[in-house]
Amino acid sequence: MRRLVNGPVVVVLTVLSAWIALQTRAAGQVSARSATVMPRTVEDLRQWDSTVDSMVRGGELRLRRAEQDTLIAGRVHERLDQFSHGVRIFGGDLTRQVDRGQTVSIFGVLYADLNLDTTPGLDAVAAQAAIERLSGAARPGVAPELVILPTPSGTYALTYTEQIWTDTGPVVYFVDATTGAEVWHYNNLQTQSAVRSGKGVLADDKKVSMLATAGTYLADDQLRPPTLRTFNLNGNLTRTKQFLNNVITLGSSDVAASSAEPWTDGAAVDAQVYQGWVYDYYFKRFGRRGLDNNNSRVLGIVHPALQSAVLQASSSDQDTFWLNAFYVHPGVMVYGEGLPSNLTVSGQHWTYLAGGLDVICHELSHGVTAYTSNLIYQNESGALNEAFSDMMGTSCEFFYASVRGKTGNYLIGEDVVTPGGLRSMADPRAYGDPDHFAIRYTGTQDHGGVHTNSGIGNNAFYLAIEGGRNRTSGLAVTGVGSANREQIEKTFYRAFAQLMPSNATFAVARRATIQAAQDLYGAGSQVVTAVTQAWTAVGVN
Amino acid sequence: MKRFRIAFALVAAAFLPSLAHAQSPWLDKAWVTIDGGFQPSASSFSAASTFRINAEAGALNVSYPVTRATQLDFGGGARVWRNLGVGVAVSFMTQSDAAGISGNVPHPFFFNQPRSLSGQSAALNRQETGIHVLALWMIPVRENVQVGVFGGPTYFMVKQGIVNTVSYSESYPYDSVSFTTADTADQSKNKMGFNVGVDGTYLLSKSVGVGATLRFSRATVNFDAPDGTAIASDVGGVQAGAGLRLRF
Repeated sequence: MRRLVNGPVVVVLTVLSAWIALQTRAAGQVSARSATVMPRTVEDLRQWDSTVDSMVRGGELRLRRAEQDTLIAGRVHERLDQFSHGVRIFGGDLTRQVDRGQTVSIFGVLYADLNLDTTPGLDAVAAQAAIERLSGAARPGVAPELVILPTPSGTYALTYTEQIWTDTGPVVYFVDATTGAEVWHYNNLQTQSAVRSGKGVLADDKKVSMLATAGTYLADDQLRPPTLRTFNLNGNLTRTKQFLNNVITLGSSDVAASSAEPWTDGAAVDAQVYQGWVYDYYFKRFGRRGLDNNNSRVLGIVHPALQSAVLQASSSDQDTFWLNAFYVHPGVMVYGEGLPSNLTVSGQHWTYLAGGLDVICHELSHGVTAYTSNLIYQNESGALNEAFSDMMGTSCEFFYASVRGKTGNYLIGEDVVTPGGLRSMADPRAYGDPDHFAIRYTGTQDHGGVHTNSGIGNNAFYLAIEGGRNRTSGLAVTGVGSANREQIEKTFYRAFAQLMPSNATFAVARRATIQAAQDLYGAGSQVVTAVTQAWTAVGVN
Repeated sequence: MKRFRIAFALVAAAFLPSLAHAQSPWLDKAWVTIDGGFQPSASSFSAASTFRINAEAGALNVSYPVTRATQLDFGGGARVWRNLGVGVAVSFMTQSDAAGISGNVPHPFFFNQPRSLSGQSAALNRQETGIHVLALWMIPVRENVQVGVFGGPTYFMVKQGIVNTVSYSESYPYDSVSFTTADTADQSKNKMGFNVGVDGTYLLSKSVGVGATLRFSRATVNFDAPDGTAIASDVGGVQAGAGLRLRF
């Protein structure tokens, strides 16, 4: 082992972590030794500085770039590459920080014992052809660079290197400069983001934004601003409850994953995709950045219980983890498992709840409410809380009608609870829910009928868009029309997320939505008229 | 091609009235031509390719214009039998034009929602050198007017800048992409083709004159596309020039 200079230099065998397909030592390889340069004392620094200058004069180091320091005035950062007999050594380089002529620091890795013959047996054209053969791609007109490659087995290899675009991204190849055989390659894709195809609960094709890691893809969105992640609890209800009770935390091994394409876990695919779509809907429609408008996280949980175990579960668990989807503040969504296809509830089949875009948007909108008006989940304010989630859920469906190839509608959960879904905004009474304040539920069940009395607000929203007559009052509403539905969506969003207090009543909701319509479209606008008529029609004055 | 026919006819028409009477022997032993000229016809060639990104196929089209360009042309030859001569001419043309880039980039979140991409590369150089071997039949129309028709093989050497990769930028919500740069590299290709043409000379003295040449030459070269396919490009075309004529 040859020391480059005197002093406490750390000398280590180079270990490059990402070696792939390293082949046996080829002709012309010699043993490689490296020195990690990081002087710790002033004296060491001075000696290294002198060594660097000497190597620069001798052509062993060549300045690649000198950049002005943008944070400390007067300082310059030099990057120097190591050469041997005019050939660059891959990975042999150092940086030198200079302050008005005085060296402040030096860091780098230099290689020793470089007695390799640097005369290539192949010319650049032949090397290029070899790289193209290996990669199956072509990059005409570009000459590969002759470099000395230190190998992890402690040898040097004279190689040609070039980055070439392949089906798997930009791959950097190193081929033996004499034989053209591959010595090493690595994928130089700088991002771990991946877009994969998947099939949703309804067997529809979707693109899933994922995290690529070691040949596996995790349901962890890398393209959108917030953390959007889906966990797969593999039907382990105990762990699901432990997580919800903060007994355990979920780690990367719990993230829903797939190495196959298309990804066929419909619940995981839809949860991951729809969480992203809902974020996009709020951003594009309202300029809102996630639940808290500050890109707070969204963590979805699929397979919280085992679908086939439903009959062994308690009635409470069935209602919570099989026949439900729910939001847990802050930012946690649990998507119910549904029922095996041979089981029904009141004649309806239930599949994975994550398969309903309106369901996911509904639940995430509870998160928006929690961060904004925080409507108290009881009685009228609770019904308004539920109604707002239904409004947004349905609006999401309409917003994505073209990309889904499916027209939106005013049913809630109709994609996953079949036939018919859970509620109707157009005709709440068809599902046993009130569409008029006069026939509201006044009991104590379901937090004072929050999923029942939501029909009143839902129908007002529907009438303000589509127009028509309220089934109970018979009063007519001139809606803004489906083409202008964005106006009503913005009006109700503004009212519910920004104007209403936590204990709002239906009367407050009426006043707040009219105020929002006036703010956005003017006092005498068609929107104000539609909203006013709609609330009147449902008996809220 | 139509334009070439018209031009050829015009040149021929200028000399034809006298040609009817002319089949006098050609006595020169050799000739030299030095012309400046241009390729009047504009054309283009293109490369279409597909790529896969965001779990979906995208498309890219690069259009390379070949616009009118001036050229240098010189040649010479010798009479070998009666009015028949053989010779060689060299034409050199260079031009620079940006390639037009258009394409569709798949959306990262949705199928069938491609984002359009358009832009231009930096100016790409194109150099065409043609070595025209020719057999020439010279017709002395008058004492000081000569018309020659010629044809033969042409060896083309073409150097062309080709777009290798196209870069674009995008940001959330990724509903559009913006062209940023095109990575280009020169490629050189050689190909054998042909040439035919007519040359008219007006002699100012026994050995010096002026003249004009109209030539059509053609070959098709294949450049290498980054995806391994071929990008076909016609070279040559109609070439018109005028300049000095020397006779020996």
